[in-house]
Amino acid sequence: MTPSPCAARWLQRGEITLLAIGLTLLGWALAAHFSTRFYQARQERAFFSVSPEARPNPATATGADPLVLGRIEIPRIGVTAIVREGDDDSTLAIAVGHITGTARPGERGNMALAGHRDSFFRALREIRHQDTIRIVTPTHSWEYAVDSTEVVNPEDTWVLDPTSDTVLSLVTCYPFNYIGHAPKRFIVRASLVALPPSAARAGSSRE
Amino acid sequence: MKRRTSCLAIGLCTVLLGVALATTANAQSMGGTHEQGLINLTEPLDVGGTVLQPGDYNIIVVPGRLNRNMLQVWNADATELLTTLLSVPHVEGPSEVRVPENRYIYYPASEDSPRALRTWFASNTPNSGGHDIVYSKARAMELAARVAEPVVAIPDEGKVAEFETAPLVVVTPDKKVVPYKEKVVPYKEEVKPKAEPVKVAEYRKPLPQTASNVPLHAALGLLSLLGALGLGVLVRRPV
Repeated sequence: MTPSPCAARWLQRGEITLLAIGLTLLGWALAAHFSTRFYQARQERAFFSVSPEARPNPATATGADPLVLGRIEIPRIGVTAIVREGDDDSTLAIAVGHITGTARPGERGNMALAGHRDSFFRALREIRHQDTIRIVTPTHSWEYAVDSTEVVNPEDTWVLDPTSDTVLSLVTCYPFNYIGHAPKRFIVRASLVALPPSAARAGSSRE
Repeated sequence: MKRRTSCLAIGLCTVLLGVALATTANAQSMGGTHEQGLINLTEPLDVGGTVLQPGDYNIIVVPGRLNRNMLQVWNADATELLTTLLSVPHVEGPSEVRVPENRYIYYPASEDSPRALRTWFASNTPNSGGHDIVYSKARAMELAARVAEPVVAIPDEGKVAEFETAPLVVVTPDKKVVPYKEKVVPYKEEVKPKAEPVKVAEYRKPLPQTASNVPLHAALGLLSLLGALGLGVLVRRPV
């Protein structure tokens, strides 16, 4: 059955509208994806392609974001991402966020990092006990071993409480295959196990 | 043919619109939700040793160690970083000051130097007070003598890279230099060591939402394109 001319006209308008919406949303998603990758690559170049002695100057380094704290690496599951200060939406869209108020790299206490479960922290679903997590800055590196994982509610802010030991808490959404804002949070808790010799000297002065 | 061309043009425009919107969103993210403020100057102002000419400027806080922050001064449209300076938390009386709007306190001008920024209170930033600007020792001596108040200083002409680690001092009105002890109190007031433990930040807000909208947007976009394809087939179905 062929649609009447009037119906055909409306169908054509619907087709164009859906086409426009689809291309806009896909364009948005692609642009967001590539701008994140561009940001990560640019900060990687700015902070980690220089010699260890030449610590980047946030005010002058080309393209360097002064809010960048370092990089997180989980070699076994292939996680590598720039860590930026803050846990707001705009920060988490482009980097792993350091939850403001928790310990910073090299400080004793509980350092909490948040990341999107559908980008930087997607691989956390495969994390295992005793996996190595590294926090790297241009001048230091700290190595942690995973102690535990657990699923909590968003209101369970005790996971961010300060600790007397140097620990690392990773926060992402749970379940991992949920579309949209998931109802739970997946927490990975790791303890400091090693400092490379060069970092040990400098790190001990701050701890 | 004509309709296909117009469809293509609309599609191209919408892709460009999507890209532009996403890029804008990303650019805005550089500021994030950190403390920032806009300052409008009608006369020159010394900000941490840099004299700003009349105009509009943006100030943003780069969080640093507990007892100090770096402040960045950008031009009005935030495309050029003009200077980076050091600040320490401001304390007024027994408790921290909290204000709903940006507020600025100045050191008065002298015959040979302009006004200088003493303290900036950022707006809408609960749990934080003002930022006292740190000056070079020579400039701090001049300012301390002028207002008869202690001024926090960095001993030498500080390089930005050393801001986080350089020892801070307090210059008194009679040009004595004493080590900086977290909080600046009026010069003649006795400094009593605090016995109570350091307070830790309280986390009242829930754990951050860590799901991106990108997959959802992509899925909806694909569904829309499939819908358009379906309608197209329906319209062009042969008789």
